[in-house]
Amino acid sequence: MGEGDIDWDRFVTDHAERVLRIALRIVGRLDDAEEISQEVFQECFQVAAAQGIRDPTGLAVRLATVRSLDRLRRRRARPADGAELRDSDRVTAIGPVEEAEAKELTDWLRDAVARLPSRQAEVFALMALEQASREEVATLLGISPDAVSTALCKARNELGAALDRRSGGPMR
Amino acid sequence: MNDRKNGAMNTPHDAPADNSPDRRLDAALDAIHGTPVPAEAIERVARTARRLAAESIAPAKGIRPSDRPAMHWPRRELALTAGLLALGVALLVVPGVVAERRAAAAFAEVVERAKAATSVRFTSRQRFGPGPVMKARQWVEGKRARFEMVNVPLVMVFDLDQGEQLLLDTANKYFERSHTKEISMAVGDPVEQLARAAERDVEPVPGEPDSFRGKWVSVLGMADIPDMTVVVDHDSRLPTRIVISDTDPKHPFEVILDDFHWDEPVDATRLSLDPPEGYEAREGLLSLGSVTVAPMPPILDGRVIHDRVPAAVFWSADGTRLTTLVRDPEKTDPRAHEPNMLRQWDLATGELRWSENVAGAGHAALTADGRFLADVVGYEVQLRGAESGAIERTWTTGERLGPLAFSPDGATLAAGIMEWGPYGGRGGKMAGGIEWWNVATGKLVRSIALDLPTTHLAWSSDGRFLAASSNDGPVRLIDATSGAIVRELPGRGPLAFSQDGQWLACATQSDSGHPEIGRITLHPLADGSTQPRSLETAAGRSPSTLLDLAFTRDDAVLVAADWNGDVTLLEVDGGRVVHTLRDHGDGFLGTDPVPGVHVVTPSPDGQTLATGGEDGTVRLWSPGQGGGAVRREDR
Repeated sequence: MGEGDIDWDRFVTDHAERVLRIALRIVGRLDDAEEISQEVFQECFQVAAAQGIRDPTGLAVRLATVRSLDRLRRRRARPADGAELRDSDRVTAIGPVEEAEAKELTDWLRDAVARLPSRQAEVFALMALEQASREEVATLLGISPDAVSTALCKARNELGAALDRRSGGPMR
Repeated sequence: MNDRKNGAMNTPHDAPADNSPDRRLDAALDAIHGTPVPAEAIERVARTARRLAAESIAPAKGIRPSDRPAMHWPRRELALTAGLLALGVALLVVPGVVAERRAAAAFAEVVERAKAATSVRFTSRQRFGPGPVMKARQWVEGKRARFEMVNVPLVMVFDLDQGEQLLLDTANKYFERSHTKEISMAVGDPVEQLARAAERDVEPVPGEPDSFRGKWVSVLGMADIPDMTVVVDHDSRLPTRIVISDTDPKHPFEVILDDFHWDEPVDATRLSLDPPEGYEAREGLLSLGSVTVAPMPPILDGRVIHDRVPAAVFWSADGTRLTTLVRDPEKTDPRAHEPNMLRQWDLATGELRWSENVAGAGHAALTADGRFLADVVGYEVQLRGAESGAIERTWTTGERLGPLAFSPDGATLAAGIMEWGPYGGRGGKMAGGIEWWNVATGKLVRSIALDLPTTHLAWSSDGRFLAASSNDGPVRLIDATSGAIVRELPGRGPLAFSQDGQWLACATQSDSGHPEIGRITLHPLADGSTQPRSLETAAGRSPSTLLDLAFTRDDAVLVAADWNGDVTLLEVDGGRVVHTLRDHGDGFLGTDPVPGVHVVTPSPDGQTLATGGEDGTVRLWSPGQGGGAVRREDR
């Protein structure tokens, strides 16, 4: 399918939420996520103009994942953010202790994902954060479903070990 | 209802059952999955992407130029998003990109194109030193310009050919027309600023192919400003954003011009030097010189407290003190968040009387006699003496509490239950209700369950009714003694009882774009013979989500605060818009969150209205005097 067959308006309508969600779950900051989403669509359009796209959905999801991980890695030198955890306003009331716990844990997870090897990070982000199926991830990344499982297992092991190190030793 | 989702995060009230890495990893994932994706952000992304599609794809498909979006796309975002792949593709599809040009020549082209434009409109934000940000909308066509201040009820129209200027005080409907040789459009004319910058060295901004930086330019009547950045539209080569700044701590300032629309015909009335109908001539409104080369002075008379964002504002019973619950602006980087605070200000001296940490508290309430304040931190209800802010009694709850309201006699505290967050301990399930607490003993008197989070709560002045609503509606009128739901009314969000107990005002809004947005229904409480009344805010502006409602002390006027930053005063009889106060800013300046007004509260004597907004100010108004503002600025 070439770009001539794509209804871009429909494509944007259908994919804006997913692209933004992927980015938000990975980077955790809404402003960053919006910027990444725009980058993703821009890249989709440019690729379409230059060479055509066979699977626009796959390209958008993959780009959203990769660009978000890129952003996360660039940001890793700084403490991770958790924009979803605002101080309370008129309609939210997160207790300070829970807020601190949740923020600390999600901050840590994002930082740890940014440290994973690229393939593992992509698989983990798509399966664990975006909750895509193994088959979908395999198709998106152009690898076998078994390779997806392997990468996910390695990623979880790596993250588990990192959690242990963070806690000062194995806690199982 | 209290079942916890598998793997959800431990709260301080639930001992961790399993602290294994897998479980904690799942808990972190649960927390991330529970993060909502704001609908308005999705819409922003989609809207932007459609424009991008039109720019990137449409030309190849033969779409007419008129179908393409106006040239005010924020190019900064495009520039920032240009990764290596994007840049590579761009090099393929867009021949002759700026990277191959000499910066000076490219910038000279920008200046020439800007000079050739027939007109431009844009927005500006100026900050000089520690002063307030002055925002304006501006139009320039040839040698004529219009300058509409947003923070200040002031409009200026210049005609350089005639050497004439028209000054309008839109609050009091005064005008002043004068002839002067000293008019400078330096502050208002971006083309003039560009032309001045072109005389100096201009260099490209690394990594941003459509941006230029000029050093030591002379603009705004000042020489050698260290930094000027110009971002241009990739296709039209016309500026989309100009930032002029000096970070020298001795005289820091920043001027941002953006949201440019080039070559759009300007309505002749905007540039007319004739005063609008109904305006009265008045001399000495303001000196033009002070406007063009220096920050605007504070407005006329009134008072402002500059602080963090006031989520709640309370008057003391004698009207001499204001207590505020303040939080960080929504745009604050979460890492930089500071605890919410309760603060009390002395209005006679403008001094802060006390400040107490209430981290996590988003709501507070004050007794009618002004003696006690209540807030909820975590699961602890705190009762404070309003005079000192000191905690006098605390008790714990098993529910996550939101809005608070004291009974008129101060003996009972009602609290709305809000369970809906990803960390809510109910697996993200929404729930609501109301709890009644005996203030003297801290004992729970009664609790009722409702199906949606109780986001707004009010107690009628006679103590008979409580009104509770959620952001998604409906409004429930509840017998304050028995807890029985008396009536269920259409409406959602903010609500207010009239002082005489005759009316319950409810916002009837829904989501953005809903036809009911900005409308208020007054439900009669006394008997069945009176029909509900419908009021509408937004005189001449797009309506906006209402954030707070309050009746004036004499019940003659209903005050409505909205997310556009407007405070609308509506006659209860007839619904006429008496006045619209717009001093809290305006949502049209794209990069900042919309500075909504969160709270409106009339003073006990009814002579003053306090409003608090996302702009981090509490403003005091005298509605009877044309809504004048700012007598003094307290920091």
